[in-house]
Amino acid sequence: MYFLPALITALLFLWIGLFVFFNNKKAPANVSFFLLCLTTFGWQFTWFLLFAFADKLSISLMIHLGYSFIIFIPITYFHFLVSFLERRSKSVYVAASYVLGVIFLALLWNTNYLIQNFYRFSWGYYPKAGAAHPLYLGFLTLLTLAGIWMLLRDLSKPNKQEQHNQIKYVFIALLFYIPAATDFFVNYGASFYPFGFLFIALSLSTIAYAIVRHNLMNIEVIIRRTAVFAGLFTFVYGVFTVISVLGQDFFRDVLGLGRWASLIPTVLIITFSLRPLENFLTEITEKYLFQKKYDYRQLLKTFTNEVLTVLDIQQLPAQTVAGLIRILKLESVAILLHDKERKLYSLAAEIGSKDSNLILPEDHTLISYLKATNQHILKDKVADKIEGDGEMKSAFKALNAQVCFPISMHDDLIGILALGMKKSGEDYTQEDIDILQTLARTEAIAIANAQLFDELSKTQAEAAQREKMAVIGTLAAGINHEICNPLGIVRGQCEMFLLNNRDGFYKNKTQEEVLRLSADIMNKVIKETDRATAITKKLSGFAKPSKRSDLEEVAIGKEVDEVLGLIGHDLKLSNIDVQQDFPSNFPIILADRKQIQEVLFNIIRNAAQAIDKKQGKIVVSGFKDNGTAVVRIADNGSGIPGDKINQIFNPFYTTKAPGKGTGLGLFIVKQVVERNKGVIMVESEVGVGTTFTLRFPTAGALSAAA
Amino acid sequence: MTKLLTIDDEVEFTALIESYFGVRGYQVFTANQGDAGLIIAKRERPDVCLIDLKMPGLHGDEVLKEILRFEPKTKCIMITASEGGGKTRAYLQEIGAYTCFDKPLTSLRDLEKKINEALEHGQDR
Repeated sequence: MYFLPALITALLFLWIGLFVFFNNKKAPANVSFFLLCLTTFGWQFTWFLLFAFADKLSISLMIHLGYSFIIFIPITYFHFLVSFLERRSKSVYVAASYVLGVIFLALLWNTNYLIQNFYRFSWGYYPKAGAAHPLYLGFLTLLTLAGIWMLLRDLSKPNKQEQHNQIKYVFIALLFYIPAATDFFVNYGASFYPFGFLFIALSLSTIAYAIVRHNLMNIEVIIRRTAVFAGLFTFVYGVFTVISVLGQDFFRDVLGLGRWASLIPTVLIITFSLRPLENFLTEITEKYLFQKKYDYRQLLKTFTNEVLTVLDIQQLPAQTVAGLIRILKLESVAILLHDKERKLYSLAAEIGSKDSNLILPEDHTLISYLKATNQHILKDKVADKIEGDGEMKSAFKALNAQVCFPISMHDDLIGILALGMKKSGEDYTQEDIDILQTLARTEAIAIANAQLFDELSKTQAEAAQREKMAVIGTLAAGINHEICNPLGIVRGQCEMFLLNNRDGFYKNKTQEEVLRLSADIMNKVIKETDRATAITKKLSGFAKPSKRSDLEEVAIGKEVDEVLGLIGHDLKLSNIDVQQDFPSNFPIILADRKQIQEVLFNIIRNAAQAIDKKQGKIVVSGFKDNGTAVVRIADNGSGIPGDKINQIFNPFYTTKAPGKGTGLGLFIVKQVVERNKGVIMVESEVGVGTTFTLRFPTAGALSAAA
Repeated sequence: MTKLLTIDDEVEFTALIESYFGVRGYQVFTANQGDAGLIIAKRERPDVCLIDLKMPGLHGDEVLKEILRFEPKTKCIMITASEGGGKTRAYLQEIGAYTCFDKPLTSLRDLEKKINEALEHGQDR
């Protein structure tokens, strides 16, 4: 069995060599790589023949043949490196080494200096080094050192990302190949089995990896999952075919079962191990061979989910950028968005850009290119593709980008997604590009959505304000009462004093008495003006649009008082009795005070409107439930039927007559409650009444959480 | 002595009426609720009533109807909100109100004139 590794290694090299050669027969690097593979194949294949069929072949001939290939391995390797690194000046050395190779070849076949005889080991025959063999080793060392030196020099030079990675992997492949030289010890009498095939197999794997991942020698390999899995399943089923055939014989012979009975254990084995084995192999293949793809698919899913749910246009770009940095492990990511008013593209979010204030006018080369092509553009390709690439290059530099994707929607370039270098140093493959293109499209939809939502919420805020003003309009009677009546009293008091004076009612009074009377009037005037002022303040405070202020400590009971100050009179006129029941230890909450007022106002007013009885009753009560402040607003109104109760928080849902309500009241109430970290619930029974329950985390609970 | 009854839920208003007309030789009765006003009206049989239309409990128009039911000669001046409009006014006069007077109070003298008018008109009748 010692021939097997040599055979496998030989065939692998032949296969890859041919693959590279036929990929591009004209490229010097491909041709010389093919030669390298061919010599390695020759070496391993001859050894395979030697180990397998030594007794039927001329051992001496095999050894000479194998060594003829070995001589040329360092030479073809050097040749490959010179072609790959495009060192035309070194071609002379390549030619010279081939000449030297021919000289060694002559020495090999005509003299005993290189190989003088062969050893016979337990695992097979192996050539014995001649007197001049160290000379060949020196030559080999020299070529290897030259190769290493060339690679190291190119690695330290600034290169394009892709090229840098290619050189890196060629270098690693060479480092793997070198330990195969341990096989030479066997030429000098060491008796171990030459395991150099392990190293050259590693080296070959590295090259294969570089071809697949980094387009080494400009070979594009697309691994088809279906092909790989088809191969995998063929293998698995092949294994089981063998098992079933062997198993049948085994059980028949060993256990003495009949022809058909012997099938049973085999079938059992296959049934219980086929699926697990298949799953296991699929899993490891997914994990190792398709790890990148697997990640990207995951990424795409996560990204899409994340991005499409963000409706805040301020946050969306920032979250996208952060997400891409995190998932793709990039050095920089930036998103520019179109500002239609200012006719430019400005940075909406970035990490790792060189110029965080970058602004691109609409006629910038990069913008025009992305608009015209609707395709991504790689930094490396900028110079080849576009005129005026200086402008483009500086934009890439400012963004610290490797590739830019258009974020476009209906032929409209709404933004640019600029991605920097991967932290791993790996470059963008076609596969990456495909996936990122999809991401860019998703981002476009998300941005368009968020922009739409932004506009909508602006109109919604306006609608809320309009609703409030409408409410205030309906309050007019009550407000009239609360403001004008005190003023009427003030006027009446003053008028009375003047008329009494004119009509001589004060003539018989002493000065002190008149003074006392007028002081009495003044006091009433002050009291009434205060009453009018207070209500005006409350009203203007309520009518003002609430700004997004910081949270403050709110005592809900006090806010209920404020609200009742505004609508209490109206409620009284409608014969609605309002009861308040807040315990003295009712907790403070952290909220926007004005918004809480708005909520209470809306709910209490709705409750009042729902009351169709002679004697209405609204009970506003509060209690503490663990870390929650609970407020109940219960009315004894008409109640809400079960099929309507789910709709009451929907926008534009109203039971009121056309023109009486916009249907936004409770919709806004719910939003405002939620904005203040609260929840709102409703219970109702037709004919009995409706209870709204508000729950807010207490200030204590909030600070404990923080 | 002319008997004047003012029914209004606004205490400040009834107090003002009381002190203004009190010195001018009227016997003023005040009530701050509709039903209380009715009791006083039944007992005192006032010549003139000032009845606030919008009151919690018994509304002004019901008070008016009730007073006219047991004493049709009573001159009732309804105190209405200034934005009340012609419809309310027409309705109130239909059910027997002598006239309406707008609140918020603009002038005590105007109110006094209206009351005097109502009293004279009543004597004419």
